[in-house]
Amino acid sequence: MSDSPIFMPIRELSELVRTRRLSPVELAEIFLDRLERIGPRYNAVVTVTRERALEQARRAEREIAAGEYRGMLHGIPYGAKDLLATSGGIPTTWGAEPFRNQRFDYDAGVVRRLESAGAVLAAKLAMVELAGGMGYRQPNASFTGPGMSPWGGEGDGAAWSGGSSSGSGAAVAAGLAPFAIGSETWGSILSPANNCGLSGLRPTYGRVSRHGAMALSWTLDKLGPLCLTADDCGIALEAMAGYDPNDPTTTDMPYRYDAAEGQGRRFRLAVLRDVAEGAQAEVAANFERALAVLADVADIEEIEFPDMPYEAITRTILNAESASAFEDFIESGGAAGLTARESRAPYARMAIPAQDYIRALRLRRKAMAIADEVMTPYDALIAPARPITATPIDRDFRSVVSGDGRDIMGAVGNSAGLPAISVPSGFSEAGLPTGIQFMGRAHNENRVIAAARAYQSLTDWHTRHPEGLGA
Amino acid sequence: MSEQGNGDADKAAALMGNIRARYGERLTGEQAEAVGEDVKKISTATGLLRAVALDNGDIPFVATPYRGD
Repeated sequence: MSDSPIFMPIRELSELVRTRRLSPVELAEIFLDRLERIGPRYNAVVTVTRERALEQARRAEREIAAGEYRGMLHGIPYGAKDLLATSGGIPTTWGAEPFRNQRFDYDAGVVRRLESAGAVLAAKLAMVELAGGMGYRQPNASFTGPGMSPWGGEGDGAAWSGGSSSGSGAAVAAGLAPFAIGSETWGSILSPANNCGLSGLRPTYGRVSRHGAMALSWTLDKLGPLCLTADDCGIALEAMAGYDPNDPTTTDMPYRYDAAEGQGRRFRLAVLRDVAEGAQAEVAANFERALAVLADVADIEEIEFPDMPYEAITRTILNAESASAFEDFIESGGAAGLTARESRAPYARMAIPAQDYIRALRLRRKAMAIADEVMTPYDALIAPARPITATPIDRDFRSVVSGDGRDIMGAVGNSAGLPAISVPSGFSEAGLPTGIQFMGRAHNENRVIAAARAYQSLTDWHTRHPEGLGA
Repeated sequence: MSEQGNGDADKAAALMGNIRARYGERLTGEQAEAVGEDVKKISTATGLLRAVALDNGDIPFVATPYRGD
């Protein structure tokens, strides 16, 4: 084990902090320096919150010295996607030029929870403008520039970090923060996890309060962590999750991470027939290899979802709700100030009839019951996290976000609010990461994390990091 | 499919008319074309939704994750 805190999982970092072998202030200084120095290379950072971070780190140091240890995130720095409200004059830009000076006088619910856990907010991280809600089709869709994966090269070789949680992915992958918070409406945590070679967890809908988070789609939006390991995702989620009276969609079912879940038994996994069909050849090959590895610890069956227009359901809901969430902005012509040319005229969604939206919501309920029934026998459904590796930053991507691709897992998972985790499954010949996702039934985060953890115990993809970014 | 397809095309044209009436002055020719493509995709998607039968008792999703047990 390296002594450097860079690329050290939360579990190991926290032990050093708890036993006072590593000072929270020292740790904060290390990551603040990296955020300021390396962050711009990947367009990963909007604001480094140095003053707030050092204040929180000093408090953590005092508390730990006094024997008041709060838990595994105490004194651990993190970054927050810049759609989470933060007080103290720190801007919350939503990644969009028209909102670059926006400020709130309160902290988002999840930021408050992390503060209670003793975590140290080190930066607000870059994102696709308005979380991609206006229909972007290429990486240059943020006022901070296209997010870049630390696994890509420079110049022509630069590769997209994924979106819309672009900076959350790039920052953790570049060792600028031990973990980060992202959000997903459809693909926005799993995509950067895939493109940046990280473990990214999309929790069950309602697990994490969205109070103070920019709303794109009220019935689809979720907040979740991007980390170095599946184990870290569980640790971070436990601190983030919980009922919040300010977000009536949060569940009162408590979440406790169980790091022992799945030990001593075989998993039962399912894979959708032809799920890797149409995927990039290297993605499909790495997925096949992952299946072979998982066969050591799991029984894997091939299944099918009954025929339903899953993608049309999710797409219609996302379009209609985003039109409502940004109605005033769109009506006032504000979209003309966005960075992505294709996002400046989001008018099609303004004309979706209410009856179509409600029909989608009625079908959604049926689709959720179908998905739950299909998934009941299994710990998780598995699939490539994304059908492609990171695309060049100057090129359109064939994106499910724009509705051009097939993504049954994403459509079902997000529409039904199901948890999923993406972990690295290998690399392409160009050295870009691929990912495998594990998706489970509602509230079964511990099972999908356990299956991903078992996979990581048999592979070392998650221990590899981009060259030249170590201590 | 052709009957459904024609229905979608008619609906797309109607929606586009609505958009032109509300936002036409803001749209460049290129943007109008792009919005038209988006409208076609929306109409295709909603056409797929209408192809699935629903009963009167099929209530909409309410914001709670479903779990059957």
